[in-house]
Amino acid sequence: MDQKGLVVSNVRASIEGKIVLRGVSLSIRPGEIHALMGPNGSGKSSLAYLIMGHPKYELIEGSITVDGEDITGLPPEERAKRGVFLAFQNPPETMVKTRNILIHLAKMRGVPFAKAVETMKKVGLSQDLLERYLNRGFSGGEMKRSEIVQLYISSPRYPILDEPDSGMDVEGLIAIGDLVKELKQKGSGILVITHVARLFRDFTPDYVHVMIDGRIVLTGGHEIVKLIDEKGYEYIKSKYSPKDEI
Amino acid sequence: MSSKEQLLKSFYRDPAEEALGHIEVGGAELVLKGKISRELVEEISRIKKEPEWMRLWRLRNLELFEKLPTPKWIPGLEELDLDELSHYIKPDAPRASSWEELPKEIVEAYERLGIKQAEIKFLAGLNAQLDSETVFLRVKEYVTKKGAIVTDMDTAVQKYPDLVRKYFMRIFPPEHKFAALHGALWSGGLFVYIPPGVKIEYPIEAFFLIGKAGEGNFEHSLIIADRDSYAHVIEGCAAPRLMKYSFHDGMVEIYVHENARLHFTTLQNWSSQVINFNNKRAIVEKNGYVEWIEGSIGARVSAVYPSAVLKGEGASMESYVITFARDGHIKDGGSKAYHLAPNTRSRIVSKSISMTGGVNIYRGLVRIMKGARNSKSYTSCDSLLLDEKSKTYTYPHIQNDEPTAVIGHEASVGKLSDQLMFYLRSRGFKENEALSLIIGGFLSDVLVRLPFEQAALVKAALDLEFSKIGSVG
Repeated sequence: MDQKGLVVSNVRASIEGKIVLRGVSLSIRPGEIHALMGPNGSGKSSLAYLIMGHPKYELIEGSITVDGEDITGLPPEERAKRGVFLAFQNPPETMVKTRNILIHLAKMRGVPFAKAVETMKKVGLSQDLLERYLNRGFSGGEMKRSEIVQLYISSPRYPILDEPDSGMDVEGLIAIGDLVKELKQKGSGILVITHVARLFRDFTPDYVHVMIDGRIVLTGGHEIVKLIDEKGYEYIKSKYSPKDEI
Repeated sequence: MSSKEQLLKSFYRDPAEEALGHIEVGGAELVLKGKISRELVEEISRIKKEPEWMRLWRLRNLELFEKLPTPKWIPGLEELDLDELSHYIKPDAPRASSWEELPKEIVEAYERLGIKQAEIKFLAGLNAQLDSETVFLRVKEYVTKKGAIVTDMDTAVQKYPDLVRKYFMRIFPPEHKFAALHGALWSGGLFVYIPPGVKIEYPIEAFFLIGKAGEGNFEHSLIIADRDSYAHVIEGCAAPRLMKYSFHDGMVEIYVHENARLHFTTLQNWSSQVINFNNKRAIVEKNGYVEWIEGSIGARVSAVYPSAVLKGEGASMESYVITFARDGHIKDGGSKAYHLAPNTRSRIVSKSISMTGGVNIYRGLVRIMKGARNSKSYTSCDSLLLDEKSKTYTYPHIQNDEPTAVIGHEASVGKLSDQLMFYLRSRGFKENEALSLIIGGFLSDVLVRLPFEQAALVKAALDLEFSKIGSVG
C-alpha cells in the first residue's frame, strides 16, 4: 500500500482530562483537499492541535502518521520539519517582529525573503506590518492573511487551515482559494477546517467530513457542503450521529 | 524541575562569572573595614592625601549618613550589614598606563572580560578600577590633544580642584542615606571634562571590577560636557562569583551644558552576590541632550534610577532601561525626568524580563513644573514574564503642574504562554530558538541602541544569537 499521506487512525484524545476526540480516522493523500466541517465545539480545532503536537492534548488511543512515519511522539517543530503546518484560527500575540519571523521561515525553507514580501502583496497584507510584532494589534483579517503568508513560504506538504475564512473579506477568500488550488497542484494534501460553506465558492474540496461531538459522522463529496448549507448541523446530527450517544 | 524551568535555566549564562570563575581578583595592599566612623573616613582621606575641603565634605556626609533614615522602599536590603564590610580596598597593583605593567593575573581577568581588547581596538580612553582604586588608565592621544580631560576621580580632586568643586555632588547632593554614605566613603571613579565645541567620537569607558567578597564599593563618576560638545561614556561592571555578598553604592553625575550631547551607557553585570545601588543624575542646560542606557543584567538586588533635570529650554533626555531578574533577584529601577523649562522633552523606554522567580519593579517619575510650557514626555514600560514564579510591578509616577504639557504613558505585560511557545514551535523553531526570538524581539528596540560590544554581551548572557536576523544556518 502507498503510505504517502497524513493518516489519522482511530484517534481518541483529551485535553485536561476532558475527552474531545472519540475515535477519528482521516486519510489525506498528496494532491487532495479535505474539508472538515462541523458546529463550534465539535472537536475540529482539537484535531488540528493534536496533529500539530500541542503539548496539552493527550493521545489516548490511535496513531498519526506522515508518509508512513508515526509522528505522535514528536515535538511540534519536528512535525513541522516533516511537512505539517497549522495556520491558526486564533494566532497568539508575539513579541517577535513579523519581518524576523518571515526571514527565519524563508531561510528554513531555502526561499528568498523577497518571496515573502511578494506573497504579502498577493494576499493584500500591508508591508508596514513587517516592523510590527507578529499578531500584536493585528485585525482579524490581517492575522489570517499573515498566517497564509507564513504557510505559503513554508510550502508544507500537509497544510492545515483552521477556519481561515473567519474575519476575512471577499478578497481574502479569493486569496485563500488561489493558495489552496496552488498547493493542490504542487501535490500538497490539504485539510481545511470551517463551519460555513462560503469558503468553498473559490475551490472545491475532494472530500468533505462532518465532525460532531468528537467523531466524524459523515464523509462524502461536495454535495455535503450543500446539505449543510441548506439543512444545518442539527439535521446531520439527528440523522448520522451514533444513536447510543444521543 | 519542569521542562520549561530547565529551558529557562539553560537559557541564561553569566559571561562575567564564566570569565572570572569564583576566584577573587588580585590581592590587597590595604583594607579598611569595620564600623563606619569618623576615624575610618579620616583615614580614607589621609591615604588619598586629599585637600582639606574634600576631607570636610566627607565628614559632613558622614554626619548626614548617621542622621538620615534607612530608605524603607528598597526591597531586599535586609541582609546588608554595613559595619561588616571592607569599605576601602587598595589593590596590590601599581597604577598602570600600559597592560604590560599590570600583574599577569589582573590582565588576564580584563582579557577574559574583553576589556583589554576593546581598549586597544577602539576606546578613546579606559579607566579600569579594581576594588577601590584605578589600576589602569590610558587615554588616546587625540583625546588629550583636543583638550579633553579623562582621568580617575581621585586624580581630578588633586589636579582640577576648581572643576571638581564646582560640580562634585552638586548634581546629586546627599539627599538620602546611601547618597550620604557614598559622599563619606567614595573612592575612585571616572572624571571626564569635554571642553566647548570638542567632540570625542569614540567611547570613553570606565570599567569597575569588584574583586572580593564582603566589599563595599563606592566609585564616583563625574562627566562634564561643556557647550556644543559631544561624548559617549560607557560604564561596565563585573565581579567573580563571591563567597558572600558585596555592596555597591556608586554615583554618576553628568552635567550637559548648552547644546552639548552626552551618551551614557551602562552594562551592569555584577555577579549574583552583589547588592547594587547606584545614584545617577544629569543636569541638562538649554538644547542639551543626555541619553541614559542602563543594561541591568547582574546583581541579586539592584536599585538604579537614571535621572535628568531638564533645566534649560529645549533640553532633552532619552532613557532606555533593560532589567533582567532571575532566581529570586530583585531589580528595582526606572528613570526620572524633571522638566524645569519650556519645550523640554523626555522619553523613557523600559523593558524588563523576569524569570525563575525574579522580581522586576519599575519606579519611574515624570515631573513637569509650572512654566515648563509645551514640554513633552513619553514613557513606555514593557514587562516580559517568562514563568508563573516571577513577578513584575510598575509604579509610574506622573506629576504635572503645566497645562500645556503633553504626557504619554504606555505599559504592557507579556507572558511566555504555552500557546505562544506552541505557535512558534509549530513554525519549526526549537524551544530555545523560540525563546531567543521572543526575548530578542522584546528587547530589539533597545538592543539596537547599545554599542556593539555591549549588545554582544547582552546577547551572550541571554543566548540571543538566534534572534539576530538571518542567523539560521
